[in-house]
Amino acid sequence: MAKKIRCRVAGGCVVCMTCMYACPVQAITLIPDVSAVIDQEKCIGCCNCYESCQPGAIVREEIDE
Amino acid sequence: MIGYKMENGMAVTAAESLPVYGEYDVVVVGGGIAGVGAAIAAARGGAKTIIVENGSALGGLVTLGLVNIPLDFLSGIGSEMFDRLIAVNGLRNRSNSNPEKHKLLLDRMIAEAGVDILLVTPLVDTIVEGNTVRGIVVHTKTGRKAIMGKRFIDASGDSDLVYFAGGEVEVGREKDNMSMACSLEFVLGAVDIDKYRASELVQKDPKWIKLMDEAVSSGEIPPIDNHLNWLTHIPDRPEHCGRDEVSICILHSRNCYPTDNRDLTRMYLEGREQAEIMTDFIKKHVPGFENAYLAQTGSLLGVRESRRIVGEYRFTGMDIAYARRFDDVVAISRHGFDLHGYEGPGNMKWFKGTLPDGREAYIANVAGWGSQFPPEDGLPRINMSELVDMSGPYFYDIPYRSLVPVRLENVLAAGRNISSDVNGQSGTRLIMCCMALGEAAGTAAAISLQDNVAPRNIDVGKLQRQLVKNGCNIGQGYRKIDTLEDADYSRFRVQYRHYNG
Repeated sequence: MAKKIRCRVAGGCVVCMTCMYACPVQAITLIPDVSAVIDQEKCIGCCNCYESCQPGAIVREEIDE
Repeated sequence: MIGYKMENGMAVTAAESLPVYGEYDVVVVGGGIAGVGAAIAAARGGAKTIIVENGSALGGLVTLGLVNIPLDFLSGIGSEMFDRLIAVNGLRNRSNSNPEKHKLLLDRMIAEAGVDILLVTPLVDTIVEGNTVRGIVVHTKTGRKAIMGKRFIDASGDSDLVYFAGGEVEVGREKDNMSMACSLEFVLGAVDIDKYRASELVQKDPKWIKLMDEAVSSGEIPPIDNHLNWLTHIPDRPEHCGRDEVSICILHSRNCYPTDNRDLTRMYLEGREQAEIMTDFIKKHVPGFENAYLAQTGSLLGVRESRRIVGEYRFTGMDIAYARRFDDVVAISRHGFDLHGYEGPGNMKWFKGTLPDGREAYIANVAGWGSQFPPEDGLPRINMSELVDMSGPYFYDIPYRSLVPVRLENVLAAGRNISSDVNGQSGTRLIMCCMALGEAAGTAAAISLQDNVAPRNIDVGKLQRQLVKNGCNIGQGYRKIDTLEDADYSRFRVQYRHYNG
């Protein structure tokens, strides 16, 4: 089965919004005061968000196509 | 030296004659990140430029202050600086910087731009004729000297230049001139950041809200704050061996008057006492910090807001709440409200504003309320996402007029001291926004010299075209700006370290 990369906000998000501005496809929204949320359908796996997340709250995962 | 005599309880001096240190086109007062942006931009615009700094290094809070978390939109010189920091492993994750590498880089960028520099040289006075500043007076170890200029940029953070030139300024909040809380940042060494990141504390309570609540309620620590503001890993120091270094923002002084040297002193003394208390507390309670030690406290206090110029446009909380667009935009920001509790713990990421129907309401940032909520007084509470067009990324414009002081003919302000109310200022004070404002001021000063007009009267469209040509982000990737040439600006939309493509 082919794999694709997707990013997901795990724990530790401090809602700084840096990931939102790094995402080239605007896949990230917010639950105010709680967490950023990455739309798994819109995510293209570029990992800009993962690399820009300062607290390391975003995880990169290989999932089935 | 001239010397002083006591007369009627005051120290009085006869008229002084001071030697002239140098004559410049542009004099930048303040070597913080705004001043660096201004000086490089002015020099690149063809102006003979000097940057004068009170401290021992450039960068201000981002280096000397250990606020190594340079946030907000990347733009022009800032973007270039990021590329160079990344190249020496001095920047990670888009916003963790290494203060030592950063200091050296700024030294080099200033030198490469051909800017003259004076460190450890405080401003003590100005030379003013009517509404025109002719020069500044600085303290040196061989006595006071004058530095002459044609254009002056106040990047001092505290509007020292404008204040000493008799310009109009305001400080703190309107009712009592108190400024929002200041923080002394500190670095802990021998941290196991991997253990910290994997800990249950980070998963369940990443802002230490519960941790701090229990600690303060039990009396273990005084009420320094009610949450962790930020914790930033320092790149290019040991990693994955339990010897990481992190900088932390959690210490706070309240009831601040940062233009009073006695109160500034109080805050440094208090900050270092708090650093000892919190280091001990963190070692006891935070996973990964068991062996940590206090490596350093900031040599520069984290003053967030102090004296601001009174300018041609006063940027306010309403401009943030409604994501205002200005024809004379010279920088953009996305930070939103961020007021650290004046008298007690917590951050207010909201303000009391006015809804479109005229009712007063508490309006919160897109990202939420922060850790100190508005009072329960019956006023409506809304998130600003209900007021602004959220089809694109949220940001607000900062207009050129907020950099232009009233009355003074040849001065611009840049940095946290632009013309604003305290709510507006809370959202224009981030490091990379200040650098962008500096670049705007320096570029404007150069244009005003080329065109032989006062900074107040430059062709702002010409300034905007020059800024965009220099790689600045004034929002052109997100909307059509009429003064700009038609072109594809889509590369300015994504903010990952620098512009993709």
